[in-house]
Amino acid sequence: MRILILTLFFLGLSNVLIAQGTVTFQENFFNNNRYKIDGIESKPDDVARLMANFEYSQKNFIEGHKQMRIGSGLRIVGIGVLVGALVNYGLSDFTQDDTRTYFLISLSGMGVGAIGAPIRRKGKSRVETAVAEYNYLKDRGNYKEVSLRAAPGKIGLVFNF
Amino acid sequence: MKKTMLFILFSSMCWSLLAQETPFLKLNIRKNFLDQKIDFLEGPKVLSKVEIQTLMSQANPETADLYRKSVSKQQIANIFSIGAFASVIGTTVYIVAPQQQSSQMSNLTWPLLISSLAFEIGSGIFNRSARNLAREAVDSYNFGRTDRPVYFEENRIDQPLFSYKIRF
Repeated sequence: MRILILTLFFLGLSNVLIAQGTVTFQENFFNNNRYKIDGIESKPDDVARLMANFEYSQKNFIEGHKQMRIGSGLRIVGIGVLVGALVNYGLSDFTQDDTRTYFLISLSGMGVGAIGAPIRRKGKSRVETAVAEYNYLKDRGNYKEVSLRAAPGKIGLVFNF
Repeated sequence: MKKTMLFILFSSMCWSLLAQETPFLKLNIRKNFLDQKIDFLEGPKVLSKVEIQTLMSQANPETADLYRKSVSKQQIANIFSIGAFASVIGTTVYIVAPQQQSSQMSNLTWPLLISSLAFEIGSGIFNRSARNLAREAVDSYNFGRTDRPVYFEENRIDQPLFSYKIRF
């Protein structure tokens, strides 16, 4: 019994990891990620907090998420500028100057949208790799576990280290 | 007591070593000029189609089914995006080409534009569902495995009445 307690103690000393959940995600209609921790829907902040023991993944996740938000914000701004220019042109008198300003404004809107798209894509790929890395480290990394199981007529300890 | 403890430690070590041999899949999604490619990675290695199918069918019939669904959705999405590309090219050709029968041209431009838009939206929907299904398949392969290695066949616990885990 003493050996058992000592083993447990050293196992605990060698690697201190709190119980963690598996992170999965799916995309919704607007291609934004919806995260789930062990099948329960949760916010990105919760996922970032869950990754506290894996700093590299956490950093990648938070920064990638920020990039995604910046990219989609730029895209939305671009679409807004395009729509605004169209509305402005429709309300104007259709002179040559109006047409030129409409053309220039819509070009700038397209430019802003075109800048936003790659930023968003890069952030998305960063988030994906961060989640995959976290799951891998949590599942297969230097990770210890002791479980006690009982079934009809049997009882046992399972070590995994 | 010492001997039994050592035996338990040794067996659990074997368990953990052998359990790590099952591959851990990862997705890499990239977009071409025309279509979307979903790569299944195992470490740095890109798996071929046959390898993925064998892995998935080993794990779980549902996982294999999810993978098959994802592939078929991807094929539909590719058809849609090729259609969108073709109709965009058709529209530009009709707009740019020298107009000889102007009435016929104007009749064809609008349907082409609308069809290109519809194809684009359809390809987006099918691409997204292909990605989601591939993610589900990989997750169920990585975390929902039922073929754990069993070393003590007679003491095997399949459905425990009680299970308590301590994680360090």
